[in-house]
Amino acid sequence: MKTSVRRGHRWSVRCLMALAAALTQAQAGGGVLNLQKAVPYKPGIEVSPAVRVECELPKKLAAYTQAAAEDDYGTVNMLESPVTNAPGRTLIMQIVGVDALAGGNFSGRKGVNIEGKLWEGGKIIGSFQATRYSSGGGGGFSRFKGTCKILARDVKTLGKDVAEWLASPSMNARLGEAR
Amino acid sequence: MACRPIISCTAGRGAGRWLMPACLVLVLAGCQQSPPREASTLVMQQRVAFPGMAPDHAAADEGCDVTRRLADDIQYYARPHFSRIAVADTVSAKTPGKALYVEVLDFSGGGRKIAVEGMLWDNGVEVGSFIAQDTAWRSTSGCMALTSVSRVLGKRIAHWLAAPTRNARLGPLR
Repeated sequence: MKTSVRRGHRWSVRCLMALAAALTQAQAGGGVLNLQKAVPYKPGIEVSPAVRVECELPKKLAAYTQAAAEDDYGTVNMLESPVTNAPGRTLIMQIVGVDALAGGNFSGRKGVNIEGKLWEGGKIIGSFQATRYSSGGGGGFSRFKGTCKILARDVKTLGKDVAEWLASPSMNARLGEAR
Repeated sequence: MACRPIISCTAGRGAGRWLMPACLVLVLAGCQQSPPREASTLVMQQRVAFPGMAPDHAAADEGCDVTRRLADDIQYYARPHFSRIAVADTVSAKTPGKALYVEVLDFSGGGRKIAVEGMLWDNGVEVGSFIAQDTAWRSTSGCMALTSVSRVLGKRIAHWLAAPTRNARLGPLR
Protein backbone atom coordinates (compact mmCIF):
# COMPACT_ATOMS: atom_id res chain seq x y z
CA MET A 1 0.00 0.00 0.00
CA LYS A 2 2.75 2.40 1.08
CA THR A 3 4.78 1.54 -2.06
CA SER A 4 1.86 2.30 -4.38
CA VAL A 5 1.27 5.68 -2.65
CA ARG A 6 4.97 6.51 -3.03
CA ARG A 7 4.86 5.46 -6.72
CA GLY A 8 1.78 7.62 -7.28
CA HIS A 9 3.50 10.57 -5.61
CA ARG A 10 6.56 10.08 -7.84
CA TRP A 11 4.35 10.04 -10.97
CA SER A 12 2.51 13.20 -9.98
CA VAL A 13 5.84 14.98 -9.43
CA ARG A 14 6.98 13.83 -12.90
CA CYS A 15 3.70 15.04 -14.43
CA LEU A 16 4.12 18.44 -12.77
CA MET A 17 7.71 18.71 -14.02
CA ALA A 18 6.63 17.83 -17.57
CA LEU A 19 3.84 20.44 -17.39
CA ALA A 20 6.27 23.09 -16.14
CA ALA A 21 8.71 22.24 -18.95
CA ALA A 22 5.91 22.47 -21.52
CA LEU A 23 4.83 25.86 -20.13
CA THR A 24 8.39 27.18 -20.21
CA GLN A 25 8.75 26.00 -23.80
CA ALA A 26 5.49 27.73 -24.73
CA GLN A 27 6.63 30.94 -23.00
CA ALA A 28 9.85 30.91 -24.97
CA GLY A 29 7.88 31.31 -28.21
CA GLY A 30 8.44 27.84 -29.61
CA GLY A 31 12.11 28.01 -28.80
CA VAL A 32 13.29 30.15 -31.73
CA LEU A 33 14.89 33.54 -31.11
CA ASN A 34 16.31 35.78 -33.82
CA LEU A 35 18.99 38.26 -32.79
CA GLN A 36 21.11 40.81 -34.61
CA LYS A 37 24.71 39.81 -35.32
CA ALA A 38 25.72 43.27 -34.14
CA VAL A 39 23.53 45.62 -32.08
CA PRO A 40 23.81 49.05 -33.76
CA TYR A 41 24.36 52.40 -32.10
CA LYS A 42 21.32 54.64 -32.35
CA PRO A 43 22.01 57.24 -35.05
CA GLY A 44 22.87 60.65 -33.64
CA ILE A 45 24.19 59.56 -30.24
CA GLU A 46 27.53 60.76 -28.92
CA VAL A 47 30.08 57.91 -28.76
CA SER A 48 33.82 58.59 -28.90
CA PRO A 49 35.53 57.36 -32.10
CA ALA A 50 37.99 55.29 -30.01
CA VAL A 51 35.13 53.39 -28.36
CA ARG A 52 33.37 52.87 -31.70
CA VAL A 53 36.50 51.54 -33.40
CA GLU A 54 38.22 49.58 -30.61
CA CYS A 55 35.59 48.27 -28.20
CA GLU A 56 33.32 46.31 -30.58
CA LEU A 57 30.35 46.79 -28.27
CA PRO A 58 27.75 45.97 -30.97
CA LYS A 59 29.22 42.50 -31.58
CA LYS A 60 29.93 41.80 -27.91
CA LEU A 61 26.42 42.73 -26.80
CA ALA A 62 24.92 40.43 -29.45
CA ALA A 63 27.25 37.56 -28.50
CA TYR A 64 26.65 37.88 -24.73
CA THR A 65 22.89 38.04 -25.26
CA GLN A 66 23.05 34.95 -27.45
CA ALA A 67 25.10 33.03 -24.90
CA ALA A 68 22.74 33.92 -22.07
CA ALA A 69 19.52 33.37 -24.08
CA GLU A 70 20.49 29.86 -25.19
CA ASP A 71 19.33 28.51 -21.82
CA ASP A 72 15.72 29.48 -22.56
CA TYR A 73 15.55 29.18 -26.35
CA GLY A 74 16.33 26.00 -28.23
CA THR A 75 17.51 27.88 -31.32
CA VAL A 76 19.10 31.31 -31.33
CA ASN A 77 19.70 32.63 -34.86
CA MET A 78 22.23 35.40 -35.32
CA LEU A 79 21.13 37.38 -38.38
CA GLU A 80 22.58 40.34 -40.27
CA SER A 81 19.25 42.20 -40.27
CA PRO A 82 16.42 40.15 -38.77
CA VAL A 83 12.86 40.84 -39.92
CA THR A 84 10.09 41.41 -37.42
CA ASN A 85 7.76 38.75 -38.85
CA ALA A 86 10.31 35.94 -38.99
CA PRO A 87 9.28 32.58 -37.47
CA GLY A 88 9.69 32.56 -33.68
CA ARG A 89 10.59 35.69 -31.80
CA THR A 90 12.81 38.53 -33.01
CA LEU A 91 14.62 40.90 -30.68
CA ILE A 92 15.72 44.22 -32.15
CA MET A 93 18.06 46.16 -29.88
CA GLN A 94 20.05 49.37 -30.17
CA ILE A 95 22.71 51.02 -28.07
CA VAL A 96 21.28 54.41 -27.08
CA GLY A 97 24.05 55.73 -24.83
CA VAL A 98 27.66 55.08 -23.87
CA ASP A 99 29.31 56.88 -20.96
CA ALA A 100 33.02 56.22 -21.29
CA LEU A 101 35.65 58.78 -20.45
CA ALA A 102 39.09 57.64 -21.70
CA GLY A 103 41.57 56.43 -19.07
CA GLY A 104 40.24 53.06 -17.98
CA ASN A 105 39.41 52.61 -14.32
CA PHE A 106 41.31 55.80 -13.39
CA SER A 107 38.60 57.96 -14.96
CA GLY A 108 35.61 56.50 -13.15
CA ARG A 109 32.66 54.32 -14.01
CA LYS A 110 31.71 53.48 -17.57
CA GLY A 111 28.12 52.82 -18.58
CA VAL A 112 26.05 51.52 -21.48
CA ASN A 113 22.36 52.15 -22.09
CA ILE A 114 20.34 49.98 -24.50
CA GLU A 115 16.75 49.64 -25.67
CA GLY A 116 15.00 46.71 -27.30
CA LYS A 117 11.72 45.51 -28.72
CA LEU A 118 10.64 41.88 -28.98
CA TRP A 119 8.53 40.93 -31.99
CA GLU A 120 6.43 37.86 -32.64
CA GLY A 121 4.36 37.43 -35.80
CA GLY A 122 4.90 41.07 -36.77
CA LYS A 123 3.64 42.40 -33.42
CA ILE A 124 5.57 43.89 -30.51
CA ILE A 125 5.13 41.63 -27.49
CA GLY A 126 7.69 43.27 -25.21
CA SER A 127 10.01 46.25 -24.84
CA PHE A 128 12.71 47.32 -22.42
CA GLN A 129 15.41 49.80 -21.62
CA ALA A 130 18.48 48.72 -19.69
CA THR A 131 21.52 50.41 -18.19
CA ARG A 132 24.65 49.02 -16.60
CA TYR A 133 27.63 50.82 -15.12
CA SER A 134 30.92 49.31 -14.02
CA SER A 135 34.18 50.58 -12.61
CA GLY A 136 36.11 47.48 -13.57
CA GLY A 137 35.57 45.40 -10.45
CA GLY A 138 38.11 43.89 -8.11
CA GLY A 139 38.34 46.76 -5.60
CA GLY A 140 40.92 49.53 -5.33
CA PHE A 141 43.99 47.29 -5.63
CA SER A 142 42.94 45.54 -8.84
CA ARG A 143 45.21 45.91 -11.80
CA PHE A 144 44.50 48.57 -14.42
CA LYS A 145 41.60 47.83 -16.72
CA GLY A 146 41.14 49.64 -20.01
CA THR A 147 37.97 51.45 -21.07
CA CYS A 148 36.97 48.69 -23.50
CA LYS A 149 37.40 45.99 -20.88
CA ILE A 150 35.14 47.87 -18.47
CA LEU A 151 32.54 48.48 -21.17
CA ALA A 152 32.71 44.76 -22.03
CA ARG A 153 31.72 44.00 -18.41
CA ASP A 154 28.70 46.27 -18.87
CA VAL A 155 27.53 44.58 -22.04
CA LYS A 156 28.10 41.12 -20.54
CA THR A 157 25.79 42.00 -17.65
CA LEU A 158 23.34 43.60 -20.06
CA GLY A 159 23.29 40.37 -22.08
CA LYS A 160 22.34 38.45 -18.94
CA ASP A 161 19.69 41.06 -18.02
CA VAL A 162 18.14 40.82 -21.47
CA ALA A 163 18.18 37.00 -21.44
CA GLU A 164 16.46 36.99 -18.04
CA TRP A 165 13.79 39.36 -19.38
CA LEU A 166 13.41 37.19 -22.51
CA ALA A 167 12.28 34.30 -20.30
CA SER A 168 9.09 36.28 -19.51
CA PRO A 169 9.04 39.48 -21.55
CA SER A 170 6.83 42.47 -20.68
CA MET A 171 6.13 45.90 -22.13
CA ASN A 172 8.13 48.97 -21.02
CA ALA A 173 10.38 46.95 -18.72
CA ARG A 174 13.39 48.52 -17.01
CA LEU A 175 16.41 46.31 -16.52
CA GLY A 176 19.59 46.62 -14.47
CA GLU A 177 20.25 50.15 -13.26
CA ALA A 178 17.43 51.57 -15.39
CA ARG A 179 14.93 50.62 -12.69
CA MET B 1 -4.32 40.91 -3.39
CA ALA B 2 -0.77 39.91 -4.28
CA CYS B 3 0.37 36.54 -2.99
CA ARG B 4 3.98 35.85 -2.18
CA PRO B 5 4.46 32.33 -0.90
CA ILE B 6 6.81 32.54 2.02
CA ILE B 7 7.60 28.84 2.17
CA SER B 8 7.73 25.98 -0.30
CA CYS B 9 5.77 22.96 0.83
CA THR B 10 6.71 19.32 0.32
CA ALA B 11 4.68 16.67 2.04
CA GLY B 12 6.67 14.41 4.30
CA ARG B 13 6.16 10.66 4.07
CA GLY B 14 4.24 10.13 7.25
CA ALA B 15 3.14 13.53 8.34
CA GLY B 16 1.58 14.60 5.02
CA ARG B 17 -1.87 14.68 6.59
CA TRP B 18 -0.85 17.47 8.97
CA LEU B 19 1.84 19.17 6.90
CA MET B 20 -0.37 20.18 3.96
CA PRO B 21 -2.96 22.23 5.92
CA ALA B 22 -0.12 23.81 7.94
CA CYS B 23 1.67 24.72 4.72
CA LEU B 24 -1.50 26.18 3.25
CA VAL B 25 -1.83 28.44 6.28
CA LEU B 26 1.80 29.53 5.90
CA VAL B 27 1.39 30.20 2.17
CA LEU B 28 -1.75 32.23 2.80
CA ALA B 29 0.13 34.17 5.46
CA GLY B 30 2.43 35.29 2.65
CA CYS B 31 -0.51 36.89 0.83
CA GLN B 32 -0.40 40.57 1.53
CA GLN B 33 -2.68 43.37 0.56
CA SER B 34 -1.04 45.36 -2.26
CA PRO B 35 -0.16 48.98 -1.37
CA PRO B 36 -3.27 51.15 -1.85
CA ARG B 37 -3.54 52.61 -5.33
CA GLU B 38 -5.54 55.68 -6.11
CA ALA B 39 -8.32 54.16 -8.18
CA SER B 40 -8.07 56.71 -10.93
CA THR B 41 -6.75 57.24 -14.39
CA LEU B 42 -4.05 59.76 -15.16
CA VAL B 43 -3.89 61.25 -18.63
CA MET B 44 -0.53 62.61 -19.70
CA GLN B 45 1.32 63.58 -22.85
CA GLN B 46 3.02 60.98 -25.01
CA ARG B 47 5.91 63.48 -25.26
CA VAL B 48 6.37 66.36 -22.86
CA ALA B 49 6.07 69.82 -24.43
CA PHE B 50 9.22 71.69 -25.40
CA PRO B 51 8.07 75.09 -26.65
CA GLY B 52 11.48 76.78 -26.66
CA MET B 53 13.23 74.06 -28.62
CA ALA B 54 16.25 75.56 -30.43
CA PRO B 55 17.97 73.83 -33.40
CA ASP B 56 20.70 72.30 -31.17
CA HIS B 57 18.00 71.09 -28.79
CA ALA B 58 16.25 69.50 -31.74
CA ALA B 59 19.42 67.55 -32.55
CA ALA B 60 19.60 66.30 -28.95
CA ASP B 61 15.92 65.43 -29.07
CA GLU B 62 16.44 63.42 -32.24
CA GLY B 63 19.40 61.48 -30.87
CA CYS B 64 18.42 61.12 -27.22
CA ASP B 65 14.64 61.48 -27.56
CA VAL B 66 14.35 63.77 -24.53
CA THR B 67 10.65 64.60 -24.82
CA ARG B 68 9.55 60.96 -25.11
CA ARG B 69 12.06 59.80 -22.49
CA LEU B 70 10.81 62.26 -19.89
CA ALA B 71 7.18 61.27 -20.50
CA ASP B 72 8.15 57.56 -20.28
CA ASP B 73 10.03 58.05 -17.02
CA ILE B 74 7.15 59.92 -15.37
CA GLN B 75 4.76 57.18 -16.53
CA TYR B 76 7.02 54.38 -15.32
CA TYR B 77 7.53 55.75 -11.83
CA ALA B 78 3.90 56.97 -11.46
CA ARG B 79 2.45 53.51 -12.20
CA PRO B 80 2.08 52.49 -8.53
CA HIS B 81 -0.05 55.57 -7.81
CA PHE B 82 -2.72 55.10 -10.50
CA SER B 83 -4.80 52.21 -11.69
CA ARG B 84 -4.23 53.30 -15.30
CA ILE B 85 -2.08 55.85 -17.12
CA ALA B 86 -3.38 56.93 -20.51
CA VAL B 87 -1.34 58.90 -23.01
CA ALA B 88 -2.61 61.61 -25.35
CA ASP B 89 -0.97 63.84 -27.94
CA THR B 90 -2.00 66.94 -26.03
CA VAL B 91 -3.24 67.55 -22.50
CA SER B 92 -4.98 70.68 -21.20
CA ALA B 93 -7.43 71.87 -18.55
CA LYS B 94 -10.20 70.63 -20.86
CA THR B 95 -8.98 67.02 -20.62
CA PRO B 96 -11.52 65.03 -18.60
CA GLY B 97 -10.36 63.37 -15.36
CA LYS B 98 -6.89 63.78 -13.92
CA ALA B 99 -4.57 65.33 -16.47
CA LEU B 100 -0.86 66.09 -16.18
CA TYR B 101 0.84 68.61 -18.46
CA VAL B 102 4.65 68.84 -18.40
CA GLU B 103 6.79 71.33 -20.27
CA VAL B 104 10.59 71.72 -20.61
CA LEU B 105 11.72 75.13 -19.32
CA ASP B 106 15.49 74.81 -19.54
CA PHE B 107 17.62 72.33 -21.44
CA SER B 108 21.35 72.95 -21.43
CA GLY B 109 24.65 71.10 -21.80
CA GLY B 110 23.08 68.62 -24.21
CA GLY B 111 20.73 67.42 -21.49
CA ARG B 112 23.09 67.64 -18.50
CA LYS B 113 20.74 70.20 -16.96
CA ILE B 114 16.99 70.00 -17.43
CA ALA B 115 14.26 72.05 -15.75
CA VAL B 116 10.57 71.32 -16.24
CA GLU B 117 7.29 72.66 -14.98
CA GLY B 118 3.97 70.89 -14.77
CA MET B 119 0.33 71.24 -13.91
CA LEU B 120 -2.19 68.72 -12.69
CA TRP B 121 -5.89 69.19 -13.33
CA ASP B 122 -8.78 67.19 -11.97
CA ASN B 123 -11.77 67.66 -14.29
CA GLY B 124 -10.54 71.11 -15.28
CA VAL B 125 -9.69 72.28 -11.74
CA GLU B 126 -6.00 72.90 -11.06
CA VAL B 127 -5.05 70.69 -8.12
CA GLY B 128 -1.28 70.98 -8.32
CA SER B 129 1.71 72.56 -10.03
CA PHE B 130 5.47 72.13 -9.80
CA ILE B 131 8.88 73.13 -11.06
CA ALA B 132 11.61 70.47 -11.07
CA GLN B 133 15.25 70.56 -12.03
CA ASP B 134 18.23 68.24 -12.04
CA THR B 135 21.82 68.33 -13.26
CA ALA B 136 24.17 65.47 -14.11
CA TRP B 137 27.64 66.37 -12.92
CA ARG B 138 29.65 63.54 -14.39
CA SER B 139 29.00 62.07 -17.77
CA THR B 140 30.84 62.12 -21.06
CA SER B 141 27.86 61.38 -23.23
CA GLY B 142 24.96 63.76 -23.57
CA CYS B 143 22.46 60.93 -23.95
CA MET B 144 23.65 59.12 -20.82
CA ALA B 145 23.54 62.37 -18.83
CA LEU B 146 20.09 63.12 -20.16
CA THR B 147 18.91 59.60 -19.35
CA SER B 148 19.98 59.88 -15.72
CA VAL B 149 18.53 63.41 -15.32
CA SER B 150 15.28 62.27 -16.91
CA ARG B 151 15.01 59.32 -14.49
CA VAL B 152 15.61 61.56 -11.48
CA LEU B 153 12.95 64.02 -12.69
CA GLY B 154 10.56 61.15 -13.44
CA LYS B 155 10.96 59.79 -9.90
CA ARG B 156 10.47 63.22 -8.29
CA ILE B 157 7.39 64.04 -10.35
CA ALA B 158 5.89 60.58 -9.71
CA HIS B 159 6.49 61.01 -5.98
CA TRP B 160 4.79 64.42 -6.10
CA LEU B 161 1.84 62.89 -8.01
CA ALA B 162 1.11 60.70 -4.99
CA ALA B 163 0.28 63.86 -2.97
CA PRO B 164 0.22 66.85 -5.32
CA THR B 165 0.47 70.41 -4.01
CA ARG B 166 0.44 73.79 -5.69
CA ASN B 167 3.68 75.62 -6.55
CA ALA B 168 5.84 72.70 -5.45
CA ARG B 169 9.57 72.87 -6.02
CA LEU B 170 11.10 69.48 -6.64
CA GLY B 171 14.79 68.82 -6.29
CA PRO B 172 17.60 71.38 -5.84
CA LEU B 173 15.28 74.30 -6.62
CA ARG B 174 13.73 74.05 -3.15
